[in-house]
Amino acid sequence: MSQLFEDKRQQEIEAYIQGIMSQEQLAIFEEKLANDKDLQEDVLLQESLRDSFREDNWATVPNDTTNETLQELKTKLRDDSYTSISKTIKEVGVDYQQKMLNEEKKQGKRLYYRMAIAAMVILLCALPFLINSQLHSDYDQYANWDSLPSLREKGDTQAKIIEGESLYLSGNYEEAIQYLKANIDTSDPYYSYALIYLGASYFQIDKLEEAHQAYDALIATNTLQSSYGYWYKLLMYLKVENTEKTNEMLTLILSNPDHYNYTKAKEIQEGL
Amino acid sequence: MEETEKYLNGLIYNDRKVVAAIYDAFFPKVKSFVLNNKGEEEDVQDVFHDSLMYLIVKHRESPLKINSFEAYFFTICKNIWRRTLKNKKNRVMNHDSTYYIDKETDLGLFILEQERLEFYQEKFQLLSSNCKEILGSYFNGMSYEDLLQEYEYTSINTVRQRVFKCKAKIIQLIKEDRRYRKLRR
Repeated sequence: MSQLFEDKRQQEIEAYIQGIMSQEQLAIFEEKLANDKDLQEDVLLQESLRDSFREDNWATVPNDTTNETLQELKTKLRDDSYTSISKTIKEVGVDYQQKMLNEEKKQGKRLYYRMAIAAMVILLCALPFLINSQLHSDYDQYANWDSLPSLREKGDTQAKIIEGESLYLSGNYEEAIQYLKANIDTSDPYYSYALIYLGASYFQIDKLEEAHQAYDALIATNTLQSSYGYWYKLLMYLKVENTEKTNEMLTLILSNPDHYNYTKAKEIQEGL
Repeated sequence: MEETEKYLNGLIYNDRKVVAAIYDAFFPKVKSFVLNNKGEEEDVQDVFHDSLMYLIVKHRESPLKINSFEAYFFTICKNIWRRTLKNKKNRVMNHDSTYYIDKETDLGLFILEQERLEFYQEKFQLLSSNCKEILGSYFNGMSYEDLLQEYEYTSINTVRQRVFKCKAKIIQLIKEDRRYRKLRR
């Protein structure tokens, strides 16, 4: 066989196996294949070589009843000496699966208990933070330092408190404090309003102790505005995330439905 | 070696404890392989069973000379699974949903296929290292263009000639061997 002929033959086999022949080439090749036993053998061999060495493929052997070796193997595998081993393997396989299933169940139970304990520990550790973060979020939602009760809105422009209110609203908190302390005393009909602005001004410059004192004084006035004191003290406790004092203030506000922001206090308590 | 013999002998003598030890030692690895390669839980048991049966048939025929039970057994499992996937694919392509083949025929065919593969691998090892490299890449789907770049040949024609020569060599080695007559089906 000349080299040229052999090369052509190899190229044809390769093109046939790879399925890249034209219809015309395929028809010619298949005709040749039908009549050439050597060519048939080479095609089969090369196909099985390619499929054997490809990781994602497999070279099969046809289920041919005339294949004596295959028939011998089948007879052998049907013999008791093999069927009994096959049975053992299957039984051990079932036992193994059952054993794994039981272990998984045990592990699942153990895991459940471990996770439940872990969840509890996490919850206990995180509870103060969760509550505190709720307090802060309540503060953000309910703080109303920009809309304190206004005498100006009530139309009493003659009242001394108006000036203090203006200073507060314009952000001059120090001046508001000085003005309110100098011009308003217990005899002023709007003393309780003055205390609201005084406390708020102290709060704005972070003098919380003085702010609390102002609101304590407001509560002590026993006027209609007294309960405002509870509310602003509540806001300050929410801001500093003091759970105990927050609860204390909520209890006081909720002791009387007439108290200022009774409904909002109820919402806050329900959210905690 | 001791472990390999213990397992193989335990298998051929139908030793339940040895079979259980093999399950304990290798089932998780086989399971992981099958499940990660498009298989289902029930496929794993079949692959495991047939692989053990293959070892029993071969070891009874003539004692297997293997260095590592684990490595050889796992190779058999992988090949059985490769074969299962190929047959599934063929059935889908041929729209053949009624295909049925009894277990003995199926295992018998695998035994013949595995024998033939090992025969090809034996012949492949006789090739020059260059031929092994280039044919290995070619059989795994590398195009002549890729081979040209990978092995720095001067032209596609040179690569083609090299592949032809290497292929011709392995075919010659295969055909020369008397076992080919038996395994060629």
